Amino acid sequence: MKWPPYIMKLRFDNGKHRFGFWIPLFLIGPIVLVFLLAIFLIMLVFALLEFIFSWRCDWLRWVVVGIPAIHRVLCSLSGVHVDVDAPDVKVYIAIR
Amino acid sequence: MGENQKRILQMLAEGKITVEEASRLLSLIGVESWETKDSVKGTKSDAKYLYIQVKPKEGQESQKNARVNVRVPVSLIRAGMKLKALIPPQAADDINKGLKDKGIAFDIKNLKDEDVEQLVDALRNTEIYVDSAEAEIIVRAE
Repeated sequence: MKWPPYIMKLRFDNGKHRFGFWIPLFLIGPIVLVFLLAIFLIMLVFALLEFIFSWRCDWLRWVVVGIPAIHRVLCSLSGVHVDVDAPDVKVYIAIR
Repeated sequence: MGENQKRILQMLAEGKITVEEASRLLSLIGVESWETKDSVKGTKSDAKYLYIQVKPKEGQESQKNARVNVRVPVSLIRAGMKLKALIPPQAADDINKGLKDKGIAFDIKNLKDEDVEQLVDALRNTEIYVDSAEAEIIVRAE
């Protein structure tokens, strides 16, 4: 099983403003998980209503494919590394 | 032992086929099973990350060119591919139109997981190197 990333490092410098963050994703992760679960349940209700009344499954596709896919994307984020060093701005993002 | 192999040996035992025919059929099945194994193995690429690097040429750095270093996990690309199913048909048509305007005749609806696997697998053994007047661009998967 792939676990979600636990930390995100962010640095920004445009000459005037300069800041760096360590965002503890392991603290935000459970909130996102609860949020996704809530969305999943709400959308499931809409999907079933849509399916019953119109025999269409647009919402159902979102519930069945979309939410797990978004979760998989979030879990696959660890290892992303972006380093942009331009003359006017420097951005560094690392997700672990 | 596979079902087909058993059947061939049974046919040989019953005298329905000769030893040569059985041998030929068994070798064919052997080839098929190896091909199946290879294709199953080949679906999962060993590459872990896709690297994209943009290095400005000497003397160009003082201008507007940026040095870019991006590392994307291949698993993220694979996971992102699953989101393709959520693209509304209208948006897919717009994407296809945009690609066509750029001279790329490609239907985004026909993009399959296997295509991405093949692309990443090909990148594992290939390094794309673009040497322009302003910068060097390198795309590779490792």
